[in-house]
Amino acid sequence: MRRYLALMESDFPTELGNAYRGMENQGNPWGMNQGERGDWAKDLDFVDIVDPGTPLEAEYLYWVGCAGSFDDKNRKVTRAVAKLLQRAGISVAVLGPSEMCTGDSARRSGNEYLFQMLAVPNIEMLDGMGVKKIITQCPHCFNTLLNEYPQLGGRYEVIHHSQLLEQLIADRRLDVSGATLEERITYHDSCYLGRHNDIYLAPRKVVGAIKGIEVVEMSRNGTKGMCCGAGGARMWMEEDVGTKVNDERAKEALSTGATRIATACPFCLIMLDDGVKAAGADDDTVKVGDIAMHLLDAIEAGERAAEQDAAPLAEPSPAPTAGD
Amino acid sequence: MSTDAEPVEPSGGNGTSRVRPHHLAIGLGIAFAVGTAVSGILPLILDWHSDSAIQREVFENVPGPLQLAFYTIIPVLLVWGAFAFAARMRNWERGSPAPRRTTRKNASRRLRDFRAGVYMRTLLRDSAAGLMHSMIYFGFLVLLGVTTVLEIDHQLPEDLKFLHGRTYQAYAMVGDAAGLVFLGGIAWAILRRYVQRPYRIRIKSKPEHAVILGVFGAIGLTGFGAEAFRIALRTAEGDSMDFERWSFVGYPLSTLVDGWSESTLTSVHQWWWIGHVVAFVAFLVILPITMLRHMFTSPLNMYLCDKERPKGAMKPMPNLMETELESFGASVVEDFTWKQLLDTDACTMCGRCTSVCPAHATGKSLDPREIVLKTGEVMAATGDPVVSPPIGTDAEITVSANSLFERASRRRSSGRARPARRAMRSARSTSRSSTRSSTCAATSR
Repeated sequence: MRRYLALMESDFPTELGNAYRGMENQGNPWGMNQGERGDWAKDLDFVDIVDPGTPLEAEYLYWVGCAGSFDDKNRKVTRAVAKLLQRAGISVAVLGPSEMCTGDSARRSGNEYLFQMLAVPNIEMLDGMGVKKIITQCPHCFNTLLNEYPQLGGRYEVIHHSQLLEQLIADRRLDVSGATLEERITYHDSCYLGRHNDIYLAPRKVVGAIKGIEVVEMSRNGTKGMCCGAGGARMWMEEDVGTKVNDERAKEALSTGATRIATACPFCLIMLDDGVKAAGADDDTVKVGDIAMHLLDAIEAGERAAEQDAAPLAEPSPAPTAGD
Repeated sequence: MSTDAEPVEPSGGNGTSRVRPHHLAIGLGIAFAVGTAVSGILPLILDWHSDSAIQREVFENVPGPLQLAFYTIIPVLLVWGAFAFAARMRNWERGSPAPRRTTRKNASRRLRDFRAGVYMRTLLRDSAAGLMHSMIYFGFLVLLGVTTVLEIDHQLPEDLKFLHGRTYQAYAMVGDAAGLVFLGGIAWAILRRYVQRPYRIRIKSKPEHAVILGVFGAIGLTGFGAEAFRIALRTAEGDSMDFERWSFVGYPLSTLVDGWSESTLTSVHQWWWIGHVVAFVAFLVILPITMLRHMFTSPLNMYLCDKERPKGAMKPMPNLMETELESFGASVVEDFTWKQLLDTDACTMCGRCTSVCPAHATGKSLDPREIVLKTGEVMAATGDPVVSPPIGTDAEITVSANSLFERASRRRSSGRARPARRAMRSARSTSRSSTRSSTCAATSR
């Protein structure tokens, strides 16, 4: 019915117009300059921005997604994922300015036309490069690449970073033996990872691999996990009726007494971080971050502690945020 | 919802003789009706009787005319019910194609889904609702089995009859236990719906829920009443009914009316029996026209739920740059697939969807349950013939066209009739400029 309204009657929420224009003209719903897509990696020399005209040499293509490329909060996630991949010895190959929005928001809001406009060239590019395996940190990109691109002929082995990190930890390719955080953490299920793709355990195992951490669950978790307020293109719309979904969810997360809230989706991260801030908690009391950020924090904290053991008189320093 | 396949031919169109799914319902109904009628006539001709003292006489103390009425009304109702059900299925046939064939590859998944349906796996997630429903469901199934066993025994020649002696006593005990469980479930259901009132039930309960619970309660109560008075009557006639102690509900009840005269017991038993049959007739009447139909539609809905498409993927659409199609998405009943239309008739208004909907929980006007019900309403009201809505609606709500936006939309309908796809297509070219903002196909009554 939404498709009918959007395609046949051009009847869609006016706020979506900006996101649509951004996707159509700049290739991303933020409407940012595509040239800045790779800027998050400026000082990370191990990140390889590949040329879409030549075959991909690396095993995986790292599909960063628009949020991970342009949103400040999510650039930290991208940097954390990249650093973890490097630690595990996986070469980080990204498309940079050649990557375009997968079209998820357009499709969910009924704008199939725009979706196809974005998806078809993406598939042509990926196929042209002979891409087989894709890593993504965004469940929306993950779902679209894995489940919807096959409808248009693009078939790839897509892996979400939570799954990959879980594997790398299990195979001991990523050394988490020193990763320590004496904190309480709660994980918020992403709809597109959880209910859409039945991935519930992988992200929990990743945070669970951290020593000293206490993982607590919110009352609505797993298959009954609660929306963050951004799925189905709601990311681009204002919420003016009733309570804001992200405020409601942030309150639930805070009620667990957690000092860290973990997400595995860029939209969830933005929404929950906003909600937690709106509830009056700042980064020093409750830290909202992607599982990759928490894991990197823990690994780096463990390494610092190891250094201090070597020099026992040094003062412990507060843990800096991942990716800074 | 894609319309990339050809629309199905309108039902009743161009006189094809192909067998359609709804013919199956009619065939099954007629078969059951004939079976019932034959089971009424055969014993009259064959006159096979068991001489055992420990058994139960079928139609004991029920005069011939009442038996005749029973064997007339029940088959007629079965046929009527089959046609009523078939009329609903004709509505599903209006939908667009959906590949839901059972193949060798998906057969095991289909059976697994079907088992999940008949074991009520989704319902048991809420333990209180699940246990309550299980009591009604299994109580009902066992009672149905008990009646069927009695009827089978009734039809068998003397030396094959098995329902006497210890077998009968065990049988009687199972029947009484099932009756108790069934009535316990009904009492619990009444308590939940009208006293405890959990949120998802509180926000929407219809008169027909009371009717259903009332009919079920009446079936259980009159069953025990008829049983107790049957035992009391035979006791008064001088038979030793000690063996009926195994009817651990009916027997103690029968002792309460010890000392009543034989003639009083005769007529009171007849009235209880009539009450029991009337309650069953009422059940057959409401079966196709209320949400009780979920006894058939819900297992069907679960059986057919497996699909090739991953659940995260939306339905594919044709390449919009190349396609010749002119209409996309769903706006009229015929745009939905037949499976989606079937699903609207499987809805029991339980409210599990709405109770977990984040938009609903945060005060938006979106109510997913209403979208399903309203789709079903529009389908029912524009069917040929018109059938009852999935769940009773207010009398003042009328549906004048098959467009879903007639009922399920934030904007109030202009009442402009869009009788068919073709009309809608032509309307498209003139109404393209609208840029209204609406959250979803949300509704506000």
